[in-house]
Amino acid sequence: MSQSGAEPVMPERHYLNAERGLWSWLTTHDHKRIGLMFLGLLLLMFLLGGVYALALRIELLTPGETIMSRLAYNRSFTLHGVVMVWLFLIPSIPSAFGNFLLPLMIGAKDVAFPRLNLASLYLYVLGAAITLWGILQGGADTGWTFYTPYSTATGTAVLPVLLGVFVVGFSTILTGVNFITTVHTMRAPGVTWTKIPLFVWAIYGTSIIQVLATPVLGMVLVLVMLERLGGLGFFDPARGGDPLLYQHLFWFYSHPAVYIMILPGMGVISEAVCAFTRKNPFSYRVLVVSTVGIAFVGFLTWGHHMFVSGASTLGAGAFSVLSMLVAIFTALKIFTWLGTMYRGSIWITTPFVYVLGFIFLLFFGGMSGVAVAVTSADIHWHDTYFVVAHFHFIMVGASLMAFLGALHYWFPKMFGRRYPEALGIGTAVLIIFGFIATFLPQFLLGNMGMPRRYADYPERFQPLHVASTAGASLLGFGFLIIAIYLIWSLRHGRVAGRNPWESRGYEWTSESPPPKSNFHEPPSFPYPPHDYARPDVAPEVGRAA
Amino acid sequence: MEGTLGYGKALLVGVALLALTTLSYGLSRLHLGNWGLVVALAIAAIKVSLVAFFYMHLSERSGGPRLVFATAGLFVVILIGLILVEASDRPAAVMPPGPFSIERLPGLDSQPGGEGGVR
Amino acid sequence: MQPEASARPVVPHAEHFGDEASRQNAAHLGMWIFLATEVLLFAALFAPYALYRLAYPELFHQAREHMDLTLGTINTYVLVSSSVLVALAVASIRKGRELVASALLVGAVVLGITFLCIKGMEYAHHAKDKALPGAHYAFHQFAVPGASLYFTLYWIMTGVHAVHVTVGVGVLSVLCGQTLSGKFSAAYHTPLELGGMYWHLVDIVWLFLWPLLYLS
Repeated sequence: MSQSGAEPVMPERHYLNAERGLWSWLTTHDHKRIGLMFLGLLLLMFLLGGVYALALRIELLTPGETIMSRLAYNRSFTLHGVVMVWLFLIPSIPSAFGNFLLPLMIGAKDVAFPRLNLASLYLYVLGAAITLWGILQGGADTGWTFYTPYSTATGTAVLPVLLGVFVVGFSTILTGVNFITTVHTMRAPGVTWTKIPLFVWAIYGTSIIQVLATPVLGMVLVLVMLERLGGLGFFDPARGGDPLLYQHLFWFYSHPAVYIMILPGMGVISEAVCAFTRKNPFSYRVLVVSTVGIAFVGFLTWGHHMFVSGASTLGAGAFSVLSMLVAIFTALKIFTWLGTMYRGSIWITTPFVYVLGFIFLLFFGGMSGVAVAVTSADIHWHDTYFVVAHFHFIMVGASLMAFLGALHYWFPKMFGRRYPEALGIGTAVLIIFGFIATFLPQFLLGNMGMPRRYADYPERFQPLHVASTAGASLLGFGFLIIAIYLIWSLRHGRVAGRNPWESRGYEWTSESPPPKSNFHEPPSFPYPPHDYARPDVAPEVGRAA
Repeated sequence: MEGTLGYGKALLVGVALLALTTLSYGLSRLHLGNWGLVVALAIAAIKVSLVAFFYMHLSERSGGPRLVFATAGLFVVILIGLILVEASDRPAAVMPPGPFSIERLPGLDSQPGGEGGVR
Repeated sequence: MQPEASARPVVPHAEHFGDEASRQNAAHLGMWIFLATEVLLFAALFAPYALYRLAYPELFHQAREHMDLTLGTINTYVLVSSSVLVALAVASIRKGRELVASALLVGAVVLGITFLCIKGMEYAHHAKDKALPGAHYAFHQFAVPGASLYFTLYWIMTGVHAVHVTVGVGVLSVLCGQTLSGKFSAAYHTPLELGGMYWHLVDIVWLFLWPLLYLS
């Protein structure tokens, strides 16, 4: 235990210096290195998507053209969506932290198919490159949803963007296959199904969604590509086709996709809540059941994106009720986390501030989701900024906060160093307030009638738009500070020792940074994860200290 | 291993598959109308089950693979089922071919669409 | 757990597994999950078929007369037989009969190529009639509204399937070569089992395509 009086030391050999040279990284089978490479690429993609976001917000400072033409605006929000959803959020926690932590958390040496893991990384790179090429050709102007018949008819560079997303989709499918198989077949002795850490359950649920939903997206994108390339599709009404069919197929994937974006974050929160309140989860079973419940019921709700498309009212009603059911699972999770915190021994750290931000913002994001799930109310809110605010509350306010929380919680694990805690906490608070300043006005704007994807608007909306842009600048500033101090900490941060958070998670039984084979001896975990009721000073199982 | 697939079982299943194919073809010649589709799909489902259980080793491996097979089937049903539920209740004007009749097949006297189309 | 639970993994690149049983379980489970993704991929084509069949019931009924039932049925027998040969090949390799397994795989490959040739003949017939997909449709004998939709569905569904058959033929050929070169034995033949499963999936998809497109 690092607090035994001695200064924490960095282990001599670990996965970062086990082999040296660029080639050893490019051909690695080590899930930890692959996770790190994913992390770096994801952060670059986040930067790209963020630049688009700032451009959009600057354009919206004034009605009329501010800094770009209408076509450029359409391209900007399309590419902002495409990059943020497919190149950042969907792979974010699973491909970076899932890759790094999954084997550690179940006591395995690696994932089930390490070479396939490397293939996932290269497919992601290829898909990102193709999308970037599309961006360089101007990019699509269809919105990230590529609705037909506009997407099959427009003259902008839709094909490379579709192809890029298609390839990235394969990357996530292969990752999903890998993770599910790993959880089923590579758990160490003692890690039974009821002892799997909550983050692993979250990644497992996410992988199931990825594996089942992404192929449908792949096929529908191929169909749009075929229609653009050779007129070969069947969504064209002029030939008797049905544009709503596209929407069905697209949203069958894209609604579960939003659960791909939130479930891993919920797993991070479960881990961090237990660690920083020094308490066992209020109910492990509820958290597991609600994870699987979200994964499953999330597939039954896609029609709520089509309430005003002309779909059937019976269908609309059914999808409305089903969409509200999903919120029940989220609410169960929130109550369980709060129950865990109650009478816990709270330790305010940067990850914990992100946890608090996550829970607070997920609450409002989720409630606004139930609101738009009400069909009659959605007729007013559909395609307005109300919906934009709703999904940004979840995707940024919750999902991104969880990503940042994960980054700070596992930074010592991955690099063996600490970042400056006070700066971390201060920036986290700045980001939370910046976020609220950015997106709370958007709820009001949407309710007042401001449509989404519009660059122009009536004068009376301008004050709220200006407020939103001001908030976005705060957000951007906060991210910049994080980037600076994290990069600084890579080299100059205080050495962390094996377990600076005194967490009872299985991954902390190994060294920080871990050795290449994860554990020096085959671990066995006779205790449940997140078990803070045991009086031991620190988890000594696995003899990894 | 339990229930290993040997020559005998493989051939037996094979004969069953070919017989069911013949049955399906024969029944289709009877022009059973809407029931024809149901019968044909039912026979297909039986054949698929035979292939999955015996040729794809589901009978040998319990647990994971069977769960995967069942889950995939369930989600195919969800996808197609919910789409059909929605489409069957849609107002006729919004269902293809839409409220206007398609007089001529488009594309017969104009160029086929391609990349770009309407600018 | 399988009886070989205590054996070490028999292949290189498998040291992260604790034992041979885990390696086999992981290989089979992973393959099944991949096949599930393929099932969902095709489901995204069966769903449009279902929707358009609901929207154009008479059209789908009439379209049957313009499909080549004979060629389609022959193809079904061809593909089913190839599946039987693959199953027999796996049974052979489990008994250590490598040559028999290779011969059976060659037979399956030949049948797979036969399938593709027959499909090509069908495509050629339809192309001659100008029953082409999408915007290129000009089949005058079947010019009711939505007819081009049926043929577009036909071309795309069988086309995607044919791509998978081609990949499967490639996979089986590679496995055949590896079996001949002695890479597999009764103790280790996982790639052959997994490749065979891919071929069986291709067969399964056709078993649904055939009744939907040709029979009714």
